[in-house]
Amino acid sequence: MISIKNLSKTFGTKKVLADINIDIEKGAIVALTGPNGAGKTTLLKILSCLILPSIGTAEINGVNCITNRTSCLKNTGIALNSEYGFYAQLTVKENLQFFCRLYETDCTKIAEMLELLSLAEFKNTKFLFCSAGTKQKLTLARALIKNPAVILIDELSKSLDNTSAENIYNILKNINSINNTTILFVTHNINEILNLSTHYFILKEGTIISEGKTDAVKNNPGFFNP
Amino acid sequence: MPLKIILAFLIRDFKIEKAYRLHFLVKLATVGFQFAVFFFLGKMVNENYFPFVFTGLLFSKIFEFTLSGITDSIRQEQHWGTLESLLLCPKGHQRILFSMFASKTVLFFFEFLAYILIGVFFFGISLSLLKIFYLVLFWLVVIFSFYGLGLLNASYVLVFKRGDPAGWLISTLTDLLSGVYFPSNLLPLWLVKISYLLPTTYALAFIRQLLFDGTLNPGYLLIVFFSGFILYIAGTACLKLALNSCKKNGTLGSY
Repeated sequence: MISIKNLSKTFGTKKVLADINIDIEKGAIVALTGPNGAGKTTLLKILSCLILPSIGTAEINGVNCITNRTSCLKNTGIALNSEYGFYAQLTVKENLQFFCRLYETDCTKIAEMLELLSLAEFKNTKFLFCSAGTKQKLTLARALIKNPAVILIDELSKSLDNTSAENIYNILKNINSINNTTILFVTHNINEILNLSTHYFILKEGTIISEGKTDAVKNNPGFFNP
Repeated sequence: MPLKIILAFLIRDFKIEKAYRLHFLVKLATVGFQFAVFFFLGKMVNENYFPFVFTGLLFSKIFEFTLSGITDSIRQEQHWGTLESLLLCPKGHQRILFSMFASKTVLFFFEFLAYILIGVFFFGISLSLLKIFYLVLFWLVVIFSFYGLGLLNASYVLVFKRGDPAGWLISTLTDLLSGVYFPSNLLPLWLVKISYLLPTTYALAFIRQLLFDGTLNPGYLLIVFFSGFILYIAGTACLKLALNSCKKNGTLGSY
């Protein structure tokens, strides 16, 4: 479902990613973790067609993200930076409506999505006045409303309280089990890796230093602090 | 035509503009004051000067909008942090940027009409409904013909981020050489020759002949369209290169 082959990325003289090879099967929930500056977000942005790799390929559902951006994005829900990415003067609902129209997805699902992510009570709140947690949920709502085959999420539970985070994990697990959706999320939160993911990749200084099934390391959470 | 996407941007822009109502009024007042300066200057020169410069100023406003419309939109999205979100839309980049621009163009149309009305009601510009219709068509011609120049300007800003010297230079040169404030033939001969190389000179000459003499010069219009076509090809190619450069450097969302 997600296939990254021999991918490297250099910004100027700084090598951010080096010879990355990742294969993620359909329906897997994968955590991508590692220290700050490891290249996690860069990798996610390459899959989101926002950054071009220096060499290598990245495919989603058999579609090359580098050469075929529009097809690649069609079935991919992406939740990147939640602090920005929305219009301050528009309400939660208006923001979602705009992106639904832009992505040409079904706007009638907005109410359902707001309900699902406990955003209904904030639907008429301007984004400017939303809490960080609400912004995070809204970012996720925008990614999920497309009913995508693949979901890419950066810093999933950032700014969320424990209850909201648990709620989001359940929603994602539910979506995964119903639609067999593939989920790749970047995180620093060990609890999140253990509770949500089926597989993990640990990235350090641009290379993958460990990968495998989360179940295999469930009894050793310290493992995720490389 | 990506009508659905244009409509999405239009609804969004209208809602955002509603939150900044005073901005629109201040903009109109600024233009009103600018007209006033030339109106009184015209009293010193002769009675034909203000209608002449009024047409020049209208052209200048449209040209300025076309030149900086896409650039301003990109900058604004970068400033808000929403550009990357827009580019996650599964549509071509050029299509998204065109839709953004088209929406701003619709809003600018009302601004343009307001400029004409200010001229008519406050400064005694005599325009029949037919002439106002000509001006609206001219508005459309200028925007479509110089859209490519806007793409070139946007490419510059995407790659070099800071400042907009290219846009400023083009705008100033156009004002100076194309006959916005005074007829180009008042310039020294070598500058007159340069002015003949600018499509903006022909665009202005075309509308002035149409409004003041009632004559239609299709030759001028052809020059404008032809140069517009060349600018469009150059603009789309440069924008593609600029977007690729930003994606390589990871600077798409930064400004």
